[in-house]
Amino acid sequence: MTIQKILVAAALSIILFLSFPFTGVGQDIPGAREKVEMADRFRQEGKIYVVVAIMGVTLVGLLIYTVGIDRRISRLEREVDQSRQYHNH
Amino acid sequence: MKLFLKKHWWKTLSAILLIYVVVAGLLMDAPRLPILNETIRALYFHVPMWFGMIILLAISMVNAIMYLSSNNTNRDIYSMEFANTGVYLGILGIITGMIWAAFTWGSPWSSDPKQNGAAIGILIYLAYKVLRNSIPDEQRRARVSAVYNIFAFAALVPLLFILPRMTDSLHPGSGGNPGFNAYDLDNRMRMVFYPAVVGWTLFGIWLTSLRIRYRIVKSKFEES
Repeated sequence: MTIQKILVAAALSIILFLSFPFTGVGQDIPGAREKVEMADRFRQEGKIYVVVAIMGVTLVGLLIYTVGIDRRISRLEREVDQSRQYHNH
Repeated sequence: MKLFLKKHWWKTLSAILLIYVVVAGLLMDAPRLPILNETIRALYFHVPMWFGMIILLAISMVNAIMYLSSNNTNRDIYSMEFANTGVYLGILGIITGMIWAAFTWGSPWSSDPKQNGAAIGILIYLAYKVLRNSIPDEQRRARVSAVYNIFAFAALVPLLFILPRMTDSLHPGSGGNPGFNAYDLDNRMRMVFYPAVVGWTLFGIWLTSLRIRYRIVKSKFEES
């Protein structure tokens, strides 16, 4: 168990280390702001938050549902173990 | 492994990372690139599917080896379920890739070497499922599929990581130069991309753990 914990912790710290921006903020191709079309107006109008909210709610909803299934399986595991103990006596 | 699957901290971590990925992935600054435009953000969802797949399939292969050396039936269950989730993530990776490619490469399937390699890899693992279902004897099924699993993983690695680099590919990092250098992955994207990989992979392990626990309960139930 401890070895597993160490491995997981090591993997996570490497990942976090990698995700840190060492060399400052990245650079765009020169002139990209004018040439490359991005959803700038969409963002300025705040409509992006609608998308964030909808995707966020969908994700959180699915996560909550997953937690519910996890709990049901835990309960089932306890019940099966209990009934097996009962039958063995 | 068994204890790890029932702990909660990594499930919470997965949930937090995924929420962060959705919020930061949409709101944070991304590089302005021609053709890609805003679709660059698909990277936070499409690529982690493949990372998750390869990690889950690696865990599946390790469990196959452990089954062969221990003959512990639970190892066979672990191996099978990690392969199932891995293949599922791979299929999601192919579908998301095709949607993305239709808009950026002009066609959902351009027979890009990496696309073809991924498709062959998925087919190899679908054959794993067929193989499992075709052997009724439990011991034999577990042994044969464990051996097949090891070979399947050994075939997948060159299909995804070696062959596409030997020719030209539309995928970044192909055609000689491995990915994730300064031009392939912007620093701003790194801050979302790596958490996304961890978050989606842990979520994949979480779903796998549910299926494993269901199978183990079922086998206990059938015994008694």
